[in-house]
Amino acid sequence: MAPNSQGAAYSAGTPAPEGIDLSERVSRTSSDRYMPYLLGAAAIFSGLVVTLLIVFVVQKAWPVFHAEGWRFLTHGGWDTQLEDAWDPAGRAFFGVKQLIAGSVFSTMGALVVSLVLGLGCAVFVTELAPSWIKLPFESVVQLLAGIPSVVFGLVGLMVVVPFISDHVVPANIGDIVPEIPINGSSLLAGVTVLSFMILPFFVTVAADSLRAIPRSYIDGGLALGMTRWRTITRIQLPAATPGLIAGLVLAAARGIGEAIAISMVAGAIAFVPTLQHGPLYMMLEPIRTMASAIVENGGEAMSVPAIAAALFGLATLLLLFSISLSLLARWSFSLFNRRMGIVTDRSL
Amino acid sequence: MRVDDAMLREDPTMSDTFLTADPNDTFSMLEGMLATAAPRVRSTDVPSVFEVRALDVSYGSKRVLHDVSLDIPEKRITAFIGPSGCGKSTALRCLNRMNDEIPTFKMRGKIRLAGQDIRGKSVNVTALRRNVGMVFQQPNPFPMSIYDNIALAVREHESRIARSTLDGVVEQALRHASLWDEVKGNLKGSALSLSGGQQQRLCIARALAVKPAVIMLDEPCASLDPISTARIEELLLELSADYSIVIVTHNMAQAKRISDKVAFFLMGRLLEMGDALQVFEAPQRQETAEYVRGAFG
Repeated sequence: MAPNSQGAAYSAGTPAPEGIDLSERVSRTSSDRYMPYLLGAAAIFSGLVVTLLIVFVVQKAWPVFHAEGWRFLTHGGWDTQLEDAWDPAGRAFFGVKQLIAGSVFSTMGALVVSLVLGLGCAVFVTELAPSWIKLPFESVVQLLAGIPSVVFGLVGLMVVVPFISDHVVPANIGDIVPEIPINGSSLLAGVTVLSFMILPFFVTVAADSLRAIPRSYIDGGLALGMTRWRTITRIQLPAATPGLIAGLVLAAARGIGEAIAISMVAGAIAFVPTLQHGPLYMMLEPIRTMASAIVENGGEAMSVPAIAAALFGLATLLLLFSISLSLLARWSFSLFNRRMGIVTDRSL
Repeated sequence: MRVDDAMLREDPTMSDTFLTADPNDTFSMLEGMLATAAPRVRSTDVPSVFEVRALDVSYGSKRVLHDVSLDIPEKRITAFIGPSGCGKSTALRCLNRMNDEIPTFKMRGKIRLAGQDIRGKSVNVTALRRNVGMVFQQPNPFPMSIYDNIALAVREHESRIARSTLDGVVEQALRHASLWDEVKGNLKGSALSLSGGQQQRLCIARALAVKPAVIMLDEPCASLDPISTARIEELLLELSADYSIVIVTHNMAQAKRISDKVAFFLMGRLLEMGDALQVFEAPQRQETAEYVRGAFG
């Protein structure tokens, strides 16, 4: 009883309905046929470039890993090692402990600041702000994301560093912290500048995850007699937590890779700030981060093979950091989606 | 409209069906539903828990309720029926002031709960909503464990409650919502992993946990299958012994099965309100007759 295109007897002798032709040609099918190949080629090309880049960086870094092993991570002395490495007779030796500490401290500090500020911004803009404030406010926050990092660095250098030097650093600092010159270029300056650089990344993701909370949760809370503020703190923020974590992780990835601005304001001295003199003085001590070490020495020093290998070693560490951070972000996004009832196996 | 005194008493065969029905037995449940297909009869000559007088509501310039006056009987099931957009949900949401959340909402008239003006100066909205629980069309358990869904509601009103007391309150709420047996082994599991019907009963349990006097349900079965719907209806009949229940529904059969009193809304007006039997069997208005007959809506 298969229907046929002639419309002849198709069921108990009645004619089939007219006007349905399944073999009809539809235009544009050719682009449907070629597009997958074209787009596939573009995707494979991009993937290949990224893979080659990783292979290239790791291969260039290999000499330093081979020579130093774990000491590369556990030993310090970067600044003097750099000078020693110029001496062709001397044996080059590298340990980047202080640079890792610089990157981790500055990024963690900035994360804490932008978590507090950003959460406030995100809740304000999604839940509390009247609509006439919302739009300009969000535009300003997003604009922050577009400011080139060198501009942040410049403002930091001209405003933040002098301010810290004049108003925060005590006059007798040399007696309190004798081991290192303290002049305003510091972890504190780095954290301050970095906080505003990564803030928009966190606020954008945090606001999006708060907005993704279904209105029905809020209504459910209100109907139980919760105040608007209680629904935010007891229902919306807990529900949005994985999204907030994802936002923090993205901000961390942005922060850990930041080179220029940090290099301009944080002192550019490979030093591990310690709590030895208390938290304030720890924040006033200078740092140097992995990314800024690369940008500061990436020029002529690259002609020395040992320095080049050490810088590629830093690049490898940065890659490892950012890959693990992006995996973490993915994981928390999928957790968030599952919590929101968005079940997807296409999570990106 | 004549109603025999005998008919006004609760029909014993009906409640027996519900008590003996095995909830897992589809057949006996459907049989239970059939047993109540005719309007139930229970006297509505009882004190009013809500008194609504001359209620006018508008959103911006759009008038959605005109001069609605009605009484909600205590410990009975009152159904608001009517076609979409007739204002029945708006009327419901006025009773716990959920409409206050909408910036353009304006109302005039008086609503009294147990004799107290719910918009009075001394009224605390939190207290009002604690006494008037609400269940929504889409089940909306919070994205947390089954236990926490109820504990959150309880702690909101009793922040210093001891853990052991809280455990008891959670269990009791789940038992009242006849969900306990299904979830007692999995209280720490996510509420979102429950089926739609279970989620809706969890929402009812959550509303019960704060000991309200009134439970309002806005089309609670609209997204549920017939079996889950039957369980909810059965539950509401049980609960109506202790709670005043207001249900918005556009399912005529459902209103017939469970309600004691029916309010028919049309285009923002309360066209007719009366005992379920009277509204379904002998409506006084032409529009009501046509609507309950299924001619429109």
